[in-house]
Amino acid sequence: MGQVCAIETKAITKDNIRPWLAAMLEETKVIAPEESHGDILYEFIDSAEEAFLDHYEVPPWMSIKRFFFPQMDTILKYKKGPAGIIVEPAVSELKRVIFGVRACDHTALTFCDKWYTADGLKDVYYLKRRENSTIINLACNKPGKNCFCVYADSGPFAKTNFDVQLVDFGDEYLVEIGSPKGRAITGGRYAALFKPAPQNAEEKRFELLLESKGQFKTFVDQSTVTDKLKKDEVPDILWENMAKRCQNCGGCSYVCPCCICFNVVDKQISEHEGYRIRTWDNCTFAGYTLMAGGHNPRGKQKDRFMRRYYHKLFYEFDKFGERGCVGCGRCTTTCPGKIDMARIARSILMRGA
Amino acid sequence: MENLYLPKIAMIDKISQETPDVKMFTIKYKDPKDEFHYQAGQFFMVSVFGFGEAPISITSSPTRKGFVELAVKNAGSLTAELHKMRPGAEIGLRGPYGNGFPLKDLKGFDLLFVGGGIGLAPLRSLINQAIDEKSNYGRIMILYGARTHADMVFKTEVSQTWRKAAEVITTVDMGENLCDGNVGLVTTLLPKVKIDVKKTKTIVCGPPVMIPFVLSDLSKMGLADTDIISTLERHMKCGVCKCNHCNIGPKYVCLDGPVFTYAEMKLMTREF
Ligand SMILES: Cc1cc2nc3c(=O)[nH]c(=O)nc-3n(C[C@H](O)[C@H](O)[C@H](O)COP(=O)(O)OP(=O)(O)OC[C@H]3O[C@@H](n4cnc5c(N)ncnc54)[C@H](O)[C@@H]3O)c2cc1C
Ligand code: SF4
Ligand code: SF4
Ligand code: FES
Repeated sequence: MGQVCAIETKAITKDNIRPWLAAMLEETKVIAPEESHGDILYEFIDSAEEAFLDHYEVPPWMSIKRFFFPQMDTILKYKKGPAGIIVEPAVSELKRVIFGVRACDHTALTFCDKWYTADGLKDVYYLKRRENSTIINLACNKPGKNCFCVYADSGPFAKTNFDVQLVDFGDEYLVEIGSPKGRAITGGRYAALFKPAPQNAEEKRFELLLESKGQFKTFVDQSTVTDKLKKDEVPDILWENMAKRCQNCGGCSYVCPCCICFNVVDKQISEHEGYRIRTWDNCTFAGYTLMAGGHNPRGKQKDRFMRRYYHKLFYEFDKFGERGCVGCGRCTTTCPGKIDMARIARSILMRGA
Repeated sequence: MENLYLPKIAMIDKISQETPDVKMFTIKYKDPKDEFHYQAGQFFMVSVFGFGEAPISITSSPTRKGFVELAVKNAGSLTAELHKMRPGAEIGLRGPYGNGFPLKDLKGFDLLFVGGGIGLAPLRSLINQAIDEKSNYGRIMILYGARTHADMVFKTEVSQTWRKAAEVITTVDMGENLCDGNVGLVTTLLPKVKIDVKKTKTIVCGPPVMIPFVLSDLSKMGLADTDIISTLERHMKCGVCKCNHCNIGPKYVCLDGPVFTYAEMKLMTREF
């Protein structure tokens, strides 16, 4: 329990959550879980009533990745005029609070932070959005059926780096404040909505954490898989068989909060004007490595499929000490070929010796 | 925070038609305060606005200042658009990117260049630098192969200028070779040069099909893997190690390359 990195704790009654969101909406944009055709999605809300605050099966269908790395992001605008071409960067300056973020997605964000600042090369589009966001986590008391964050060391409660983390205590939430941004969103004009943390908060939190950890149904031993990849112990035939089932739909990487590959294309709106856009890409697509002239170094589906797993579980782990998988289970829900992270890991462990 | 993706506007100053599908563009920054600082072997991400960006090697030598030269093959949508442009047209440049050739390691050695097709473009940067700084190097030998005589790039340099300072042999895959008569793959030129393997470093660049053959022949001639230097090409979308397109195993061609020794390339056992 000692490793929790809250600099301050408070509590808030559940009745005060909507007033808190309403107060935020007076000064900033707010993103919160919303119900949409039976699914829970993170969306910008216009009023506190729109937020979905009841229990739902975690994680929400799409991660919060798109608020930092949108599926389509205009990065530049260009205009051709009499004085030549003028290029203007389009960096979002929008301030926002994201409410109800789960530990897996939050850990994924801290992982993406490493990628977007790696090698001393800083991605301003991502980092500006990071800087302009305050994140309010909601710890998971009840993991979903495909979740395995507990084995990826990314949940069910966030340990560090959060601005605010709420832990469901029944009628109220324990409010763990972890950063100056967290202080700002719980202090000042918001302070009156909060009360001191209850006496037995630490014990109660610990019990809830244990209870949550006890409910996981999906077990994934990532570190053994990483070892097997490093030692080249997974037979080719296993990859061949798994890769055959890939439909090349791209779903796995679109839903994955750790997938950061992108494509860049220009879009003309007239002869004189246009945008440069970056879009999500997927390393399992054949066009991903296709070069002019037709040479394709990863022309085989098997190689592309292997790349996805080697990158996440081996190369990124070597580079950052963290894997590109936080165990959110979304690829399990998505993949039509049933060749998601959890199943692949299981197959490798069962047969890949 | 600097914006990694923001190109600087540059202007096409001169264009020369090198082959039916390769043009060389001499380029200057639009803002005269901007200067080119680069090493041989590096590349630019070239913007043709409305058509995107493509990685293009620098073919001019850093010893010749005030401009940069890019030799571009018409290979797709962006490069076709570039080929339609006239002097005075504006493009964008980001970079230079990549590690460049390891000049420190080459100093004092004989240099054997082996180029195929447009692969001579990145080599030309180092060839002209070595010629301009001749006292730093021993012999300069250039073996160049093109599909046909018409497909030879930098013809004046290959057939005349370089021959004043270097030993040059060319070949064509088919048809007549008006330069020096050799017909056959570029590997057939290797036995024609007498090299001292202890004193020689080779630099190889060409199409993906050519590279493995040349590298293995050079090995057989007794050159150490660390003395064989080559460049790798991958689909690139950013040039700054963010888009993930150019990896070979854990290495990124845009950041760790595009220049690698044969010893390094042999460790890249995983394409994925
Ligand atoms: C480090 C490096 C240096 C290069 N130097 C030169 C050079 O000096 N001269 C030259 O003519 N060509 C060079 N190329 C190849 C050149 O980048 C491609 O021919 C060019 O990207 C084709 O773009 P396109 O839009 O005309 O073709 P399309 O086929 O229409 O390309 C579509 C997209 O795919 C990508 N792409 C396609 N082929 C390649 C490729 N081979 N490499 C990287 N991305 C690709 C581009 O990003 C492009 O936007 C180099 C490539 C690399 C990686
Ligand atoms: S979701 Fe499954 S089928 Fe679709 S691209 Fe990913 S691995 Fe292939
Ligand atoms: S690989 Fe699958 S389980 Fe892991 S973080 Fe990505 S979507 Fe979630
Ligand atoms: S070109 Fe984008 S990572 Fe290398």
